[in-house]
Amino acid sequence: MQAQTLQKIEALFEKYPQKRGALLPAIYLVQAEKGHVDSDAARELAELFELQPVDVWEVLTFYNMFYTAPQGRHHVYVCTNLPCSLRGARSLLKGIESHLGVHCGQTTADGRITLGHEECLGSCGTAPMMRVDGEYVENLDLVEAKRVIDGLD
Amino acid sequence: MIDRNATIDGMQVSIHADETVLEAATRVGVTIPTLCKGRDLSPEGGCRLCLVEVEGTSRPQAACHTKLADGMVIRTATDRIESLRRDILDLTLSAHPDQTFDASSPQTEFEELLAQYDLHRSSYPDRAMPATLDQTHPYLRYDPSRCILCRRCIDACESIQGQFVFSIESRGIQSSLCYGDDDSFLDSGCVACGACVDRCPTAAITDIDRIARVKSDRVTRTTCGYCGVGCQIDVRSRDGRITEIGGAKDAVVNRGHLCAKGRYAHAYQSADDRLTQPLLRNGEHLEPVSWDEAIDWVSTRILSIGKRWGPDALGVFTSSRSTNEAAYLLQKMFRGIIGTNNIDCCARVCHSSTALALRTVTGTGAASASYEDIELAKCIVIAGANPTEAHPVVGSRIKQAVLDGAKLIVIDPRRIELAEYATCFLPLRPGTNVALFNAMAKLLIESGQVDVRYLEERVDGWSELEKFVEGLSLEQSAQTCGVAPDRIADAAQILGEVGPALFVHGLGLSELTQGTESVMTLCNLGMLTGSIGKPGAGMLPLRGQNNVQGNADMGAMPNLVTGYQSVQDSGVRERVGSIWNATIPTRPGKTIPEMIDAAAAGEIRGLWIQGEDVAQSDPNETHVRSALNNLELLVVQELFLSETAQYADLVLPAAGALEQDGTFTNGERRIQRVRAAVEPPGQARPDWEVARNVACALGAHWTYSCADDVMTEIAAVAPAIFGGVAFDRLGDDGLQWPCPDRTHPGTRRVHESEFIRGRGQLICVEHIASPEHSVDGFPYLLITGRVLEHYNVGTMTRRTPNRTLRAEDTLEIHVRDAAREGIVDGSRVDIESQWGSTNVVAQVSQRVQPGHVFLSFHFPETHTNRLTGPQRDAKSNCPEYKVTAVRLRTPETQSPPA
Ligand code: SF4
Ligand code: SF4
Ligand code: FES
Ligand code: FES
Repeated sequence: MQAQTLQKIEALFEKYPQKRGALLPAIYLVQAEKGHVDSDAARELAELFELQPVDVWEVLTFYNMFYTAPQGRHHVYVCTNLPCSLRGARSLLKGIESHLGVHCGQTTADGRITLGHEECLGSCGTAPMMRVDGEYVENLDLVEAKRVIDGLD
Repeated sequence: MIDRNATIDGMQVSIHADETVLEAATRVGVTIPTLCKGRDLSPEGGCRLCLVEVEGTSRPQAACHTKLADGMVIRTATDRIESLRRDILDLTLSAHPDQTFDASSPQTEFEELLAQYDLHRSSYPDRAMPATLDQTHPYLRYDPSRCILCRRCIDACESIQGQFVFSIESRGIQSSLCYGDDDSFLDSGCVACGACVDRCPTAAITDIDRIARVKSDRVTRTTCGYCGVGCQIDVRSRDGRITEIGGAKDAVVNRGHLCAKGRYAHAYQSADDRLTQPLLRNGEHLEPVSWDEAIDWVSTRILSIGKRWGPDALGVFTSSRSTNEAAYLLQKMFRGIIGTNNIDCCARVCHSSTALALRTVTGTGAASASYEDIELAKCIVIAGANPTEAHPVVGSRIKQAVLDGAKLIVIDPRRIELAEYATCFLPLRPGTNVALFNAMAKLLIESGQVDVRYLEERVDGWSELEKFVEGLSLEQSAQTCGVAPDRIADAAQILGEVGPALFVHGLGLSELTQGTESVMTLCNLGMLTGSIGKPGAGMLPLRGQNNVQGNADMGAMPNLVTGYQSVQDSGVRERVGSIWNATIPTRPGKTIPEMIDAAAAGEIRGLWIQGEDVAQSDPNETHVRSALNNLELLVVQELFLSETAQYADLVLPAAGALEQDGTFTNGERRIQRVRAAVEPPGQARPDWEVARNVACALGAHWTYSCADDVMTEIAAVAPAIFGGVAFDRLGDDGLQWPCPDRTHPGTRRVHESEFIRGRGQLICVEHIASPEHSVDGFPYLLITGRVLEHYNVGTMTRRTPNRTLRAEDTLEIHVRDAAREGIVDGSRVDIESQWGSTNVVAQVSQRVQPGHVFLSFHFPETHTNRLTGPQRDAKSNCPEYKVTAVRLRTPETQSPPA
């Protein structure tokens, strides 16, 4: 973990009544630095937070926007919750899988894109939708999805 | 008066405070099925299998979480409830591949439930997740395909062992049990206590013994043969072979809990190299002989040495691993038949200073408190002990007490595991306890945080101590022990505010040149805080080996006959002599280190060593080995051809702890039954039987036919403390001495109303540095000690899969020192003291302080005790294992000493 990240995490501590309260934002910071948080990083965090490594691991793996393995340069996450599914999200996801040649949960061989699915992102009115990195792309069909994906570097 | 009652399945049930419906139902014999609630665990509330109908509420309630209240009408097995339960089981089953569970021949709790609800296949679509079996651990197995995520193991590991190994990773259908951070079982923080194995309802977590389980034909309740905690175990066996060991669930000492040694390390019992016949030396070789020949030979040799050189040319070391009955008979044989007081046991080289100190200031050398005081304590002081490794079951009880809010002060040169739990940790220089305890006494006295009433009513020497501490400088003491004055003040303040305290202490106090003084000054703190004799407080030395307490009790000491009666006292000699029909010699005998010196000097010609590997365990190894070489007669009773046995003229094959009858006495003075679970291999014999047979060959008429007979005599010889002890009274949990007569229930706490010696004694004594503290050219201080996976010289644990858990002794060295010396983790280092040298593997760590190194002595090839020297405590003769000046060299650097 870089000194800068460490500093930012330490600055978080005073904002919470208990140190461990800062764990979630701290994981975000580590992930921002490295792109993912592996078991070594979890151990470092555990030491810093005076927690058992397994406690950090539990939090880390509970949230699906934290990654324990290296990710592609871009995240493409398709919402597959009920409203999106009713509007064709499942076949959309299948289409993207064959377009990219990877299964949901995998990263393309060139390390460009990690494809995943997500539960409701609160954008049901514009279903189906996907999240590309931090951005929502809504009212999708496969053609539009491919266009957006192909536009990623 | 209003009747406070509820009804469960039509039965009237009284209301007990805080009792849940589940507990009340169990109490009246109604079984409610549970999955997530396990024995001794808190209710998790997740599985909902324990649902019951509560009249007046529309929804069923979880019995494990619902408190039974006045007027409640509960039905535990209505049609609705049973169909809900079946559905829960059905859903649970759907998450596992078909054939994972076998309801037709149920082996586990979960399978029994499936059988009860006649569920063989799930009616729901299969939603099993891929899973890999974890077989990395030498004892434990985790099979995720069997895990129903009930979380019992998580709770067991936390709330019984205090280890926090498990958690749940991910969520929803992907949830799975994880340990550490994505580790294997072997690399996780698991200490192989087996608490989770005992509670997993599906055998998802299990162990190699259970996997290999065959129907046992015998279960024997006995006492664990490892450390002085004295856990009760249930040994399963079949056809004379041990198949599995479990903790006895109702035992007061361990309540079903065990450690990696007691539960799993039993393979040594059937090891191929067990001694199975007597071996007699013929030149270079040891050759098998019959017992008759062996006994004939040894009795003739003993008689001839006695005749030629006098009885004091003979001596005996009894074994702290053997039974009270064996120790008693051996000391009786040497005193009564051979006519010498040259009798000692390995308590000499561990807790002799503790026993002497406690006896001097309180009147008895044993613990004043019991293990149950751990849970009652508000403040625990651990000094020079590492319970989570050397006494793991007590260690886990201390952890739980601290997690429940007790304050903990840890005084140890090393950052032992419990230091992480401590309210205050004082990492002192080894061998400076007296300085530290005096400083704490000064702070307590000067801040007025002492128990004035207790001191006035029960203790002598208060004003002297007040005057003595006035002359001490806190800064100087702090400098001597290398701990900041503020830290010492913090510790004193906690003690003063929260005391009385329970003082748990170990060899880190006793194995020093000031061993006796260290324990005496700790007792000062015990008395100043009014702790000794109070519930949840007092002195609790942790005794090392399973029966080291018992060996001392039995009179395996040169100056004391059975029951701490002085051989100098003619009344004692007469009374005991008349029971023995023998004359007890008056000449004081020698201690173990003195006998070794005398053997080297040719004054002692014949030694009998019972189950003790002095060639590996005693300090100054080179000297010990040359002493053994010098003997005319060396008899060794052993399980294996130990380092010491290789010097013997006669080796007698001994029965192990799992193979003989008798008693062991644990560190809280509890005399517990030892019962043979299996037969000893070949011609190996119980130690007490061998002593009897040799005594008879020496001309005595001993007629004991069983260990029970021996205990009857012990009770008669030492009525004040054992008068009421008899096998028929020992039952499952034994008796704590003193127990003077048959109606006496045993003594939980000694010195309750007054000290055994009348008044307690405060001691004024200054710190004196060990000669080892400053030796030119030897800049590091070596501390020796133990690790969890092994026991003493390792003869037993090295012959078990514990070897996979820990394959060698390693030298712990601080990162800074390692960097300076150019030592990398895992590299070999030459380590040298004034007394000898050896070569070991370095483990770079932050557990030791800079300037200190730590080495265990479990493997003979380590030769740890080549390094330790001849320094001893002047009063008790206890060797100084804890402070040795050393220097280090790496093959690469060969750096000259600083
Ligand atoms: S391993 Fe066993 S005890 Fe632990 S959660 Fe799974 S089924 Fe329950
Ligand atoms: S064996 Fe003991 S320490 Fe290991 S995981 Fe199970 S409960 Fe925890
Ligand atoms: S279901 Fe897809 S955004 Fe809500
Ligand atoms: S046993 Fe009560 S909810 Fe599991």
